Amino acid sequence: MNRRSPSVYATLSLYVWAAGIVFLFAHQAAADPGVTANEVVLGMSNALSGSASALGKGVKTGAMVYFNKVNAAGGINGRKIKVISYDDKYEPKATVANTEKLINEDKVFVLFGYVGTPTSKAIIPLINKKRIIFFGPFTGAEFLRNPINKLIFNVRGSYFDEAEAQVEYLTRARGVKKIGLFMQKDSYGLAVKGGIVKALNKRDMTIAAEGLYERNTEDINAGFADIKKENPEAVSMVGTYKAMAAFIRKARSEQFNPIFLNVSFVGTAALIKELGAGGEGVIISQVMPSPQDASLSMIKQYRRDMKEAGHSEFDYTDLEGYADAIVFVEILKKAGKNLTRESFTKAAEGLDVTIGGMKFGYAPKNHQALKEVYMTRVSGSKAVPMN
Amino acid sequence: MMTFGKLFNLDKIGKKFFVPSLIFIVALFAILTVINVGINNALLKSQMEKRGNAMASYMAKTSVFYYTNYDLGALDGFVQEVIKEPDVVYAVFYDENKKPLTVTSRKPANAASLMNYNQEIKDETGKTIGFLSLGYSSKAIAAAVRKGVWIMLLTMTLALILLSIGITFSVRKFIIHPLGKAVAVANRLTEGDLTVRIEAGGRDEIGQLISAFKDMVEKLKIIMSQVSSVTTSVNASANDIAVSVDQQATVASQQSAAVAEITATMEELSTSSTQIAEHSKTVVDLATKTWDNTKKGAAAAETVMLKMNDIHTDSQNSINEIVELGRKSREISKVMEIINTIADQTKLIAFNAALEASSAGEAGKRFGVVAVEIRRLADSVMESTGEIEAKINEIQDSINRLVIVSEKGSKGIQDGIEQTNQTAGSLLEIVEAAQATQEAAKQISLSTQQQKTASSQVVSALREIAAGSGQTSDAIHQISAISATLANHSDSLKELVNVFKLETVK
Repeated sequence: MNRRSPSVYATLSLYVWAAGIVFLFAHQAAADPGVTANEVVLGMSNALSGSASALGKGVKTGAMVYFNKVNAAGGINGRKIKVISYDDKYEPKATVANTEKLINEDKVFVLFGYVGTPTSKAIIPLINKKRIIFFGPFTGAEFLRNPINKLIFNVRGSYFDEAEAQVEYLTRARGVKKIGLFMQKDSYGLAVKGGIVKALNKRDMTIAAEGLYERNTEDINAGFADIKKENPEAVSMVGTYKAMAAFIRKARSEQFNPIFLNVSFVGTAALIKELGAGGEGVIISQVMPSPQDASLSMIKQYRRDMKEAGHSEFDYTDLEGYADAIVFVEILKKAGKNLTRESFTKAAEGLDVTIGGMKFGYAPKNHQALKEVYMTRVSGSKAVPMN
Repeated sequence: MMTFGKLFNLDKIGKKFFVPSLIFIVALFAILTVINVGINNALLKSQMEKRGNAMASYMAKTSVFYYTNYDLGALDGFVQEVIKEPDVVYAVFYDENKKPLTVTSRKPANAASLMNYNQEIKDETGKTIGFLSLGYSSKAIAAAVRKGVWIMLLTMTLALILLSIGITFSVRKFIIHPLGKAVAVANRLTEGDLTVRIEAGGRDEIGQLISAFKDMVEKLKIIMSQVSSVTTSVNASANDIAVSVDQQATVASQQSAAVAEITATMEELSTSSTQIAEHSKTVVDLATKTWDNTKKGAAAAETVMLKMNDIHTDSQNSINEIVELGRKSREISKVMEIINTIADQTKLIAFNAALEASSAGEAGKRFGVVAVEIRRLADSVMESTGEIEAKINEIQDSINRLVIVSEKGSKGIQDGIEQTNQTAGSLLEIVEAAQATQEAAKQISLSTQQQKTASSQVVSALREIAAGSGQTSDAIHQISAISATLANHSDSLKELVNVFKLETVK
């Protein structure tokens, strides 16, 4: 016979209930921010205005096309994708402020579609502190890839790869010996320069001339003079479309016509638009296949979705945004109903898919989905892939 | 400027102490400051060197990873971090060909004025893969040193002020104030006020000074009272001495005077003795002479007698003549009468002449005059005759008297002869006496000679005494003078002593 009194039982069960409720709530609270039963919230801060606005806008456009399509189809695992987007004008300080807001106030699940090296670099401490995933930044900076940060998932190829491709092209295809470097005077410029230096070192070469310019300006004259002084055969340029266009224009005007090379971040369409006829022959290394190449089913899909969304212009930038969104969605799918940062990460690191003919894969030791670099040349106001 | 000079007029201990110590302290502080600054400077420099080198080598070491990974962004991030330090002027990572890899900072042209640190960056194999150049400005040091100097100056000034205040205060309290008291005491002492009360001082030097003062005053009091009493007795004694010396002097003077008198007297005596001797000699001579003379006298008496007889005879003759004379004069008288009668007649004539003259008038004036003259002549004749008459009378009288006298005289002569006889007899006695006198006078002469000798001796002895007493007198005068001086001195001393007030006046 149970000798315990009924009051004891009552107390005990009360305790159990309380614990259960607490556990439930705790469990509930253990669910990551930005994730609800029917929504997953993404935070985006990139250049929607200013001298790099084409980049931010392009990424956002491409991504939103796909997200909207997915949402229209009901979302993933019952969750619609919501994107909260702020403009940081390609200024790191603004990026930090926006990100803090996104994390603390908007309580987003992941940070998605950031644009730029210095901007991304600025928020890494915040990412690390808040343990929030940083997905698909529009930058090839090595520090986002190496050493592996569990929170950072890159989609596009790295600048080092682009630099290697450039140098290989120049030396192999064009027999260039003297290569100059005109770069943005910040981490973006250095990120690419590192790749250039590495590639040149491999070939026992060094940078023949170096010129700098300030981000978000078009003050290219001083840097131009430094480059022209050495008269290199080719100039690898690391900047955004406006400044790069100014440089090329100036060079043309002074009958200085080395081979101009740009990295993907320049903003291809925008650069071509800026240069007009003067853009002829400019080499741009890309990390995305040509958005004009409809033979690739990804491109076909992309163009179709873009058209459906009402866009008639296709560019590498929004193609990349679109591709970022695709990869993200795939991971969401893979993460399943129980969507947490942990489950996302696990899903991401196990991702290995081919979509539209493009192979996207992550691993615990690889947080860069794509690896390809495509060399293109501006010809007839179009970036034409070279072979 | 005046006041500045006055500042250095070291009339107060405070100033004497304060001004030099102030100068000394300021100099000391200045030296300390300089030394301190110098040391600080050196320390700072070495610190900076250490830091610079440490930073450079740290950066170099940690940059190796980024070099090998071509993470130029990270290197630039390093640079950006380092540059944040205000002292860092530049920081540049270079590749192995000394081409700059980072962009945020470049080595300036004036790098020579900075503190530059260069590091070779080597990978694990020891291969040089790059370089690092760091530049620190020494402005910070300079600023720090300046700041340090200012702080130093400020604290030194503050310390100086505090020290000054402290010193001034303690000097005032422990030296000047007690000294002031001691000075006050000393001043009262100079006024002679030995009744001043002194509180016992502390155990420090000034306390000892005050204690010494106290002892001094006590001793002075004792000494001065002793001196006072001694002075009083000395003064009395001096006065006594003076008095007695005066007396002595008087006595000595008297003595001297007496001696002088005696001497004089003795000299007189001697003189009189000489005179006596001379007189006695004279007496002897006289006696001798008397004897001679008496002998002569006797002889003369005889002669006189003879002569007397002669005289007698003569006188008898004289008497006879005188009688004759008398008679003759009576005759004169008769003559006189005649003359008188003539004169009278003349006078009458004259008178008549005059009358006649007058009646003659002018022509008889001369005649009148002659008449007057004749009358006058007659008068004078009459006068003369009168006189002659008188004279004759007188002669008559005289003759009468003379007769009487002669008669007397004749009698007298008789007496005279008797007397002469007696005289001769006396003369003989005198001769004897004269002889005796002579003898006696000779004796007297001898005695007086001896007396003279003796008195001479006495005189010389007295002279010696006089001389001696003269010396004594001189000595006594000297003593007198000295004792007078002594008395003066002891008076002065008494006066001096009286300056000191020994008992408080109640």
